[in-house]
Amino acid sequence: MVESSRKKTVTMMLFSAPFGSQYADHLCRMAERALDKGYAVEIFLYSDAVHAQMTEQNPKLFFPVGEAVKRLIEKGAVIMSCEICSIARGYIKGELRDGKKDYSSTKVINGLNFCSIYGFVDMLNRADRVLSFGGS
Amino acid sequence: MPKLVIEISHSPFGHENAYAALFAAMAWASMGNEVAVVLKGEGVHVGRKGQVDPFKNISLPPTEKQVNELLEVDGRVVADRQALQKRGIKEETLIKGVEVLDPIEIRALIIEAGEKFLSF
Amino acid sequence: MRVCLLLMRTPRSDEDAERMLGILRGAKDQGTEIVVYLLGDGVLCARKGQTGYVGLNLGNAPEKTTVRASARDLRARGISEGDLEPGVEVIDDLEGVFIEDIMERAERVFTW
Repeated sequence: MVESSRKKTVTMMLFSAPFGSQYADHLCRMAERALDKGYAVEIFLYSDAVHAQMTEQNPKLFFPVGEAVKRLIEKGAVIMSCEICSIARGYIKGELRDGKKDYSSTKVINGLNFCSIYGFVDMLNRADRVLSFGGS
Repeated sequence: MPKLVIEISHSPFGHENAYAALFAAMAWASMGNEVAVVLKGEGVHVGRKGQVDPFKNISLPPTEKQVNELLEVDGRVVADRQALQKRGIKEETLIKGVEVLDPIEIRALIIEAGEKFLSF
Repeated sequence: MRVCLLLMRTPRSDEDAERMLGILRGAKDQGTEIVVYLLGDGVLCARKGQTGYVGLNLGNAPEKTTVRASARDLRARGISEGDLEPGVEVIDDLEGVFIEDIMERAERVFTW
């Protein structure tokens, strides 16, 4: 863990949904190369980009974003999804249950987590470099 | 103090960009960080004052309120003078506190303060 | 100062081009070193013979400007090296080169 905490961190924000544009593809490829090179990678899914977290994506002919997201999690990327964006789009309820937010969902890829915008602020603060994909 | 530049090039409402950008800017600034929101292209409409109850009229949150709140916590909001002129937007119609800079000044600001940069 | 730009699309207007590439001109005044990385549709910016806002207009860029384009994205779009502005570097692992640059050398990185 100590070694991990010394790694330089690149934080990537995705703002566009998969398939409608190539931004999610670019982010996934970029994140994988960063991990391969030994950097820590943190990803924030914001706005329509939360659709990248959906299970059972089956694009047939397009870049398989869902598979890439799973692979990134397996390789150690921290992927956080915007809580209110995910509630708005029906992925999670986010209601309090026994004092904790209910993020259980069958619609979301395992290993991905949720946070408020303040979680994103923490990610930005930890980042040595910040990249945004799809906002413009 | 960590610095962040957030660039907005979409007008409010038609896309989520302006709202989401200001939401992130406010969160960043409220934690004691330094932020400059740069309004470029159609994004300069974010700097105009006079929105009338967007919640009631179009069921969307008011970005003007977000800009005012950001300015209250010492966030900077900067509009591109050229983009304003192209759209016939006069400085006196902007939200009080929104700065107007020339493109060359904005470029210098982005390079100087853009340790972390997000584009919306 | 070393600045990296990552372009994943082409400019959509004069104003958009100023926004995405104006930093090249702003940097010139400050003696900044610029590396432009072209990925996805961004590689279209590197085609030679383009006028107006659609190209990189490198004539206005500082001397210390490098342009690198993704080989994979060029091939997919049917663009050969001969179609590119002189001096554009074609890179097989653009993502890997970009990541190392921004993490180890660059002081600023801007993406569109």
